[in-house]
Amino acid sequence: MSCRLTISTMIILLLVFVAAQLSFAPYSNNVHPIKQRIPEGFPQPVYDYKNNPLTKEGFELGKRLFYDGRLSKDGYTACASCHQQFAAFADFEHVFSHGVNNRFTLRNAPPLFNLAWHKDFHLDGAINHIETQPLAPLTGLNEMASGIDSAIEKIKQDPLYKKMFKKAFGSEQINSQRILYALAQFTGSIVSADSKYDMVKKGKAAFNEWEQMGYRIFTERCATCHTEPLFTDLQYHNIGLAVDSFLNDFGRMTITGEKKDSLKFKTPSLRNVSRTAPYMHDGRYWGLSTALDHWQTRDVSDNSADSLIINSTPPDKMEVKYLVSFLHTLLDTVLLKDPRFADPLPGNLIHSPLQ
Amino acid sequence: MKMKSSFTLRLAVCVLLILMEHGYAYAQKNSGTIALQIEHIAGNSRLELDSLYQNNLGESFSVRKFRYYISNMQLEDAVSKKSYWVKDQYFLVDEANPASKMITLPIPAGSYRSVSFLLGVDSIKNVSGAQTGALDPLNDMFWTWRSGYVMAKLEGRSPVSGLPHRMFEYHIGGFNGTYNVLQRIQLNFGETLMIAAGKKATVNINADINAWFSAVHPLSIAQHPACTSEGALAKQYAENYSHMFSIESIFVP
Repeated sequence: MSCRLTISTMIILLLVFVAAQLSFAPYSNNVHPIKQRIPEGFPQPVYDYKNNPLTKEGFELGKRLFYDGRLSKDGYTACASCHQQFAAFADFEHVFSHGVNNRFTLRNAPPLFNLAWHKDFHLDGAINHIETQPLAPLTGLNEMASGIDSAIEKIKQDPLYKKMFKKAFGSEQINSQRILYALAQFTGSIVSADSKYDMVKKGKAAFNEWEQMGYRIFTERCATCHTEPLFTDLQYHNIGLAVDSFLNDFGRMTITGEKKDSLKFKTPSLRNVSRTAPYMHDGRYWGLSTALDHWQTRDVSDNSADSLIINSTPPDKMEVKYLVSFLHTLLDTVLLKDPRFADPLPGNLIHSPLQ
Repeated sequence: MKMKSSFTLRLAVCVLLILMEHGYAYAQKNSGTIALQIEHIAGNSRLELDSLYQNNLGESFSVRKFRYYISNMQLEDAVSKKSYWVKDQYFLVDEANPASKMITLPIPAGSYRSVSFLLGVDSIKNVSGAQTGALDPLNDMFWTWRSGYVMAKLEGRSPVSGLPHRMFEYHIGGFNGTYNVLQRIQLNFGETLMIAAGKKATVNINADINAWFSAVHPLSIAQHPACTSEGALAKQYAENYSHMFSIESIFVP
């Protein structure tokens, strides 16, 4: 009797032990899992949080880091300094962004949304993973100019961070991997799929006449590279932008070392494009119609551009107007105001003196 | 009754723990240990940081920093010719950290013909996001402006260098495409290496810095004081340093 009881207790214990192991992995204790948002009609994301379980605690930590200027050398240049929510996380109306010591970046800051669908980052594809992406601006001398070690040291001084790391990852340990995991939980969660265009697709709104005309022209002439629903094919193209002799930015070729990649840049998404002026990798064009005029005004003797640009007739003036009308329907005002992505401590940790 | 059930519970936990311990010990019984003890040398001399040496091209130099990754180690079984693969273990060997030059691993007891390893971090780990431990970007072996690990790093000074402080810097990386620098290095034990259960065999390996300058391609410091990005030159350095290792002696208890 007693023996049978012992054996059955052992079996129960074993089951409890196994169940406990299963429930602890991959989530640590007492976290609140978040389901990754995959909007209707979107493909499967590249980044699916398999090795970095998405939780409320991890997301909140990532958000605080994103808005914290102390990560930079001067103590007040945060990720959010050049990626502002009201500009769809681009740098509002800046050709180049301002890093520490009055230094400028060499490319126009991209907006940040739908990043979980990107397999590489930067307009030349220099970075191959969403998790390691923040190391570039963090250490870039014309951006945040920090060392990874000094950023960690500063974070460790803040008792609130210790609590947040413990909540998110189960212990107070602060290391580069946890910082990068948390940042990926925040940046990867920024999804843009609530524009007028999306409402039209769901049958909840209708385009006006010009928007409808623009959408038709768009699908015929632009959608090959600005593929729906992300409005980018995530590929690299040369659209005939003559190289700026000061910047000498040859784009993708810098990374692959291959001549065929000269002057190729990653197709930017057109979502929120009406909020992210100026345009092109070096911000050379102000205004959407000016950017569209590039088709007309570009140097036609330059035959290195993509055949889709070379072999097609540029849109006429009215077509440009229709297209611009359509592009405005891609503005996601829900994202721009979503409190989940807003600064948790408005103004406290960025653009204020070293704390 | 309550007393009794709590006693039963305690007994059950004890029995369970003993059983688990026993199973663990059983698994350990058939396992031995291999230790790779790496010695950095320059020609015939033991490497000391900041001391002067001469490479095979007649240039004198000193070393300030010497680090590299070892990963994907494999031990080839002398009988079955199959390899025991040490998966997901990355070692950063650093001249400045003596402990890092001794790599100790449990392996199944048996007889082995050779050891091989990747000098560097395999391509999969290069595209797998944030890592920690030996692969933490904090170790200054990760290119942050363009993703990828520096597989090997050699820095120092030489009177023939035209760079400031007469320094030279080789940061060798590139994990894919034409300029992939990953090298698999195989070292044969000569005689079969017997790893007995519960015993440790030590393999003493020399790594000769001079190979960097001349093992395959003559790469003088005067002509190439720096190589800090991937490309054809980095690949030549990798082909050179893939010859730097040799087995000096083997100690089997």
